[in-house]
Amino acid sequence: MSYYQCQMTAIDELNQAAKYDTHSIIIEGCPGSGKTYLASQFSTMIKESVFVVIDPTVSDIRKMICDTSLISNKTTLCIENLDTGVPAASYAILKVLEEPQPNLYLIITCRNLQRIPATIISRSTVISVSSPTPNDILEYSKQFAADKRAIIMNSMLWPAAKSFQDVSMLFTLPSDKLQYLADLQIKFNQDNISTVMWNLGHYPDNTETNISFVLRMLMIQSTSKEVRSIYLDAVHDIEENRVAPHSVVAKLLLTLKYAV
Amino acid sequence: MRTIQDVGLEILNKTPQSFYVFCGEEYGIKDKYINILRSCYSDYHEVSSVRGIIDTMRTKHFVPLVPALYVVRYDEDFVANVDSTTAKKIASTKIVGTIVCIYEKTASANKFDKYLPEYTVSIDKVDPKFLFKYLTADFSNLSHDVISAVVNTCKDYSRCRQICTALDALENVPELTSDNVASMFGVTQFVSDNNFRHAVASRNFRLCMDCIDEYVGDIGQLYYTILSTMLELEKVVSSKYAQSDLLDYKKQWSIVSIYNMFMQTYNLLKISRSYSLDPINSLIYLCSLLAFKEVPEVK
Repeated sequence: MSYYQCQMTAIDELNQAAKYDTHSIIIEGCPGSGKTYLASQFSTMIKESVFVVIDPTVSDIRKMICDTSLISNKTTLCIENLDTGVPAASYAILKVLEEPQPNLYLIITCRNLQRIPATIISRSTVISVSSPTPNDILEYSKQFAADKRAIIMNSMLWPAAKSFQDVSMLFTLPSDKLQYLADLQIKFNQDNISTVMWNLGHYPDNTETNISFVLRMLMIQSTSKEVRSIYLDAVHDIEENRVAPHSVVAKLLLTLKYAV
Repeated sequence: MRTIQDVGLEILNKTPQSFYVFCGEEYGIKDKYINILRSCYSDYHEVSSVRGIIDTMRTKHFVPLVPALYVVRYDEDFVANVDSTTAKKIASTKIVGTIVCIYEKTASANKFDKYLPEYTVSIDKVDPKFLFKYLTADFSNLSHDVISAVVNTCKDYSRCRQICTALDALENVPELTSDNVASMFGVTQFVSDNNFRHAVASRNFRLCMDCIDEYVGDIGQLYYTILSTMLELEKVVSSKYAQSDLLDYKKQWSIVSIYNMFMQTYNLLKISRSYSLDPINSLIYLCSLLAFKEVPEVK
């Protein structure tokens, strides 16, 4: 099995964790860096383990823990992006960490380790994953069909692809949506802010775009340091997920229209 | 999109067209129109799928179909799949009778307005003068003063109709004022996001405080109400031809105030998601900014 450059250190650490039968691991890294994939690799390292991924909700966590207590098979339970869930979800896991089940291996993924309670961090092995390098992104893209490569590589879409998730998204989009993204620009002209917001957030068939990717792509196109800084704030707010994305975009557009 | 007046006239004159989409929150009027349409046809059918009934109409029958009213309620599959070819398909179908599709969500209304504007009507809060007209026609035994008091008390057709039905059952209906109706029937004004929206846009601090006091639901949503109100005001102030229910407040706002109010609200919203801030105190602070001639900028 070959891994990408950004995953090498994490894989070595996971191998060590499997060797020492570690039951609780936190994998920290930026969105789309392959944290869940690495969690599945840990499951194969400890052999004969069932790999299950769940959302960071209290009900899902409690149900899964209850289910695994009824069987003897090894289970690797991956809780994705625990830092985006409610605090109660984190506390539901504490009980498992304090009274670990011998057949249960818990892997928590997160984007921001500071949002995970210290009590969970202290009971777990923390493994960091780096952001994919440009070479990693290029290698990853080779597994997809080449028909869209020309549109993606020759436009501002490619420089904006910073994660494996971005590459998957781009190569699986239909060509018309890809072209729509590649042609996207912010033009106020006769459109009001609500209309521009809609165009940035939706394809012509009214399905939603990946707004974080759209903003990163527009940021790269901008030559002004001040404007790039405004885009960066917006991308950061979207990824923090504290404010609804449409409000973040509205703030960005108001600032671009009236304060720059 | 068609107007409620045009559609109402067609239906009241018993000359309905063959396909309607009724959107909007006001169920009472939709129900009223459906009852009138029922009287135009001998048969009435509740069906579950628009696609199903259209396909039936497009199929040849040995025994011709009898003209009937077909009502389809909340067919989500139809909303999800409606596109530019749907209007052509409906226009080319010989519909025997009338098909009425009922929806409530604003998103559905927007989509139908885009692809089926000639069939769609949004039935939201009805103008009080039309409410008065409908109720006067329905309850000829009640005096105009009583009906007027009912309409002034609650603007919702369904609720007005219920109150009039109750009053109509009385042998002698006394002269009533709006206060009498409110106290007899326990009508309370629920504060909606729309009330708060108008309060902010009109820069009425007292009204804003009343809305915050009486608001039922997650009060944190009011941050988003302020943000969306500022966006609507930006549209109105920056364009001469913009249409909006906030047009009356245009002169009270400058772009600078709109921008600053948006940023103040955004900042407090963001802080409130990170720390335990009392949302009511934050909203009171935001509403107090409305008193300034120019809303101050974020420090």
